[in-house]
Amino acid sequence: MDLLNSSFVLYLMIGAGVGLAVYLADRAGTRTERCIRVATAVPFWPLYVPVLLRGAGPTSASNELEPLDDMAAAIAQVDRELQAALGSLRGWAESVLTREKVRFGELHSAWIAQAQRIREMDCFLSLPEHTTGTGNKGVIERLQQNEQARHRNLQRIQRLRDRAYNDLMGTLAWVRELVSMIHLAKFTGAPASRAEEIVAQMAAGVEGLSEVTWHEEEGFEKANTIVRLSGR
Amino acid sequence: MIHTMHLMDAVEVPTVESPGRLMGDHSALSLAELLLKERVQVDDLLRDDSRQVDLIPRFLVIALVSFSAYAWAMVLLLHAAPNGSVPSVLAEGWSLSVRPAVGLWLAYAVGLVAATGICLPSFYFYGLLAGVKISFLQVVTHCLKGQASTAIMLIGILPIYVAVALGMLIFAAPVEVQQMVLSIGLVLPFIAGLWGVYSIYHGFMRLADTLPGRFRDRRTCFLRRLTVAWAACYTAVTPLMIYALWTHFVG
Repeated sequence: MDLLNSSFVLYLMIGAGVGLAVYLADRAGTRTERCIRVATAVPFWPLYVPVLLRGAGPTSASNELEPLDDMAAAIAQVDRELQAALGSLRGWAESVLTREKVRFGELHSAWIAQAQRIREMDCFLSLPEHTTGTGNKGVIERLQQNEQARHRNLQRIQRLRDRAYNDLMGTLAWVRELVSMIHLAKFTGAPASRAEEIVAQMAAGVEGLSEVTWHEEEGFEKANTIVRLSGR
Repeated sequence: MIHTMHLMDAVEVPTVESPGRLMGDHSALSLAELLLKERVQVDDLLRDDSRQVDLIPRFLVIALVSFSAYAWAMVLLLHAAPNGSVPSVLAEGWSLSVRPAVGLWLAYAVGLVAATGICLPSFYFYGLLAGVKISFLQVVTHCLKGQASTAIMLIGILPIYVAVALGMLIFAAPVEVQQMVLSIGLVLPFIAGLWGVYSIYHGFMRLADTLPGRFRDRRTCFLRRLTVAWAACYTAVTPLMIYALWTHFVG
């Protein structure tokens, strides 16, 4: 029983600390609301700890890239326009906004990942040994064949890169078009269901983009396998 | 010459009522109303990170007020019941003094919510295991939504139970019947808890759309089973917590 009592005292002491932290962390709301928050935080502090830790966590910066090239600038611009359009849905088609919010986060991540992939391919292709020149002439036939196969692979990578770039730019342009449709629907007084349709289209596009990226990677791996087998 | 502007006909824009109105107002009472009328909208609210900080204390207040009302109703019924009718699990520590009454109130009000805190980490890990994109804060909010749903259901069935129990006491039913009815009263939160568990299950299943498309079907089935497993875990922990608190407070 003593152990239980001392545990209880320790629990309440931690609760008091968390209650104080809740009071200091969040001063929004009326006085009554703040009092209720603090009063419930003391006995039920395990429920409030995630609230406190949520505010302390860093925002996701894993996809922040250094210099702003044309892709990053385009992504940033489209993202801003998309956020503005989604923000205009508040009070009009709010349910679809909260429902698809996670998917739009994924959309941004997919764009960033695609842009990074294109940059990596650019870095790879720009290396001096990977420039698609004519290769060494006069080398024995077998070496020539290997050299030609290497050049073909590099050309494939170049085509893959160009396709990925065109897909990314195409997706960004398509999202901008849908964003303009949302604004048009709102200003013409269209029903909320119209906005939901457009947002659902965009959200469906998120999966499509993920699927395209996955299939591209799969195709690239298969191409690699074929190259390895033919090179033996 | 004054050019007058052509008067355009006013376009009647159909106004869609209630979901937006209810969602805009997030007091505890309006949340309770949403839980009753628009459960899907409540799940949508839970997906908005910016609102969870406000929702947690509101759900907590709904739960605590309702559980307290239930506990004091049970205290009054137990006080009105003859000594032999008190259920055996309480009989040892029960008396007409203040301490057992306060002990019962604290055991239920604190125990039902505190058991949630104990089961939270497992719920979070089950979500991660299923591949659902959910933060710990969202897990807390979902669990408290379940508590609030349980509390509202409990308040709904409490008057019916009190009417039956009072009738039984007034008409001097046999002691065994009184004891059985009072025992049912002690497990009433668990009966109402079935609704809360369903509410949590429903909310968690809607998170299945955060699963990657390729694995969604398989993982949704797995998520369903994990949610049921968590509900069983919570159902096992809660009565132990209530009994432990009752024993501690009553001594």
